[in-house]
Amino acid sequence: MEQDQLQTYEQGEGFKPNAVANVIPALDRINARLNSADQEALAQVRRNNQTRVENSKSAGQDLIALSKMSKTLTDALIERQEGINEDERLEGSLAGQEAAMAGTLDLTKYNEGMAKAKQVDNVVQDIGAELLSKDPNNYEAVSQLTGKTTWRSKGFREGYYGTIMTRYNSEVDSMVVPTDYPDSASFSQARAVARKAFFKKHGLHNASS
Amino acid sequence: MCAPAALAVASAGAGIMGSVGQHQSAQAQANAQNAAATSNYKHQLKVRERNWDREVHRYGRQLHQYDSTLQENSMAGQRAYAGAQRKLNSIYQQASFKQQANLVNLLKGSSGAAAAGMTGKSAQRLDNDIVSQFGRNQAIAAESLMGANQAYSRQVEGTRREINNANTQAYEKVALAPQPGVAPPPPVMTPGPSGLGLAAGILDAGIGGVQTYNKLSPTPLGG
Repeated sequence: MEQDQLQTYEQGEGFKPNAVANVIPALDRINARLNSADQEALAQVRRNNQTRVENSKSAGQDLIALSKMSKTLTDALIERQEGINEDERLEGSLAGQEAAMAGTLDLTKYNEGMAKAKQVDNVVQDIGAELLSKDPNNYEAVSQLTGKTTWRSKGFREGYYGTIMTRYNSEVDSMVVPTDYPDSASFSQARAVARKAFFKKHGLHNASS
Repeated sequence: MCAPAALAVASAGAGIMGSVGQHQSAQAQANAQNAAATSNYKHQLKVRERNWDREVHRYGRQLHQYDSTLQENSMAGQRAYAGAQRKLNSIYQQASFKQQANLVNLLKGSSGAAAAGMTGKSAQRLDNDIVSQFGRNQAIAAESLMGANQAYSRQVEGTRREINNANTQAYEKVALAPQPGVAPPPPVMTPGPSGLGLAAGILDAGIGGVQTYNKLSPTPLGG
């Protein structure tokens, strides 16, 4: 009898699981591309919004520029008008000084003239206002017409009264001599009377009119 | 009198235009900045939402793959178990057939010697050889079957460990579920210019106009 040898041709099967499709790497590539696209879109949205903010800065700039131009123009017109006013005032002042120094001024007629000038001035102002209301383009002409009278009158009075006032001390002192009065009270009273006489003589009582 | 009035109105108008323009500019800038901040915020939220959707979808695909992998591991394990069982069965079957053959040979050897009329010590020695060989074969078969059983146990245990390892590796990819990050905070809106500033600017322009009028109007002496 032979010795037994037990062997089998059945090898069995080890642990060999079937492969499962792995889509994650492909999915990661797709997601990376989509994420990149999203970020680019977001960056573009931010750039667009920044551009809108920059554009908004121009809003209202037209009004600001117009305001600057108007201010420059107005300042120039004001400066020009001030020059004109000053010229007229100086001209009036010179005339007033000359009248005061010459002593030829008929105060009665001057006061009447001033009153009439005021009436005329009012009439001129009314005419000017009417002209302006009819056509705003008449502004320059109206300005010349109405402004000259007032500034010249103001200058005249300044010149006249300024010149007259330089004579105040000498004239009042000549009218009231301190040695003629026994006390200071009577001297002050006499000086007040002389002051009124001086004002009346030179028409200063109408200074504020 | 009209020139000062007109210039005063022009001066005030220029100032008012400037104030209104600055107010409009500041208001437009504030509006644009707020609109931009809101738009950026909405797009940020949209991008964040899309990213999160993609994360959730990716994790869903991983879970699906995990389930499939577990199924495949289980089926592969069953195949491995069945293969080991078939191998063991084959050895048992082979041992059974060998046992049958050995019994036949034992009977055949003993009866052959007797039929040949062999007696005495020679016949006894021959018979002892046959029986001894039968006994050794029995011992060999027993040892082989025991070894086959041990090998089967080792193979089954190895397969079990392989399944566990494979399942653990598969679980690593889905162990941590994605979580959304903190949402971006909403933007802080820019306040627009106050109406009080505009009113002050207009009032200032009006005062400037009055000053212009006063500057250009002759003041009566003593008045």
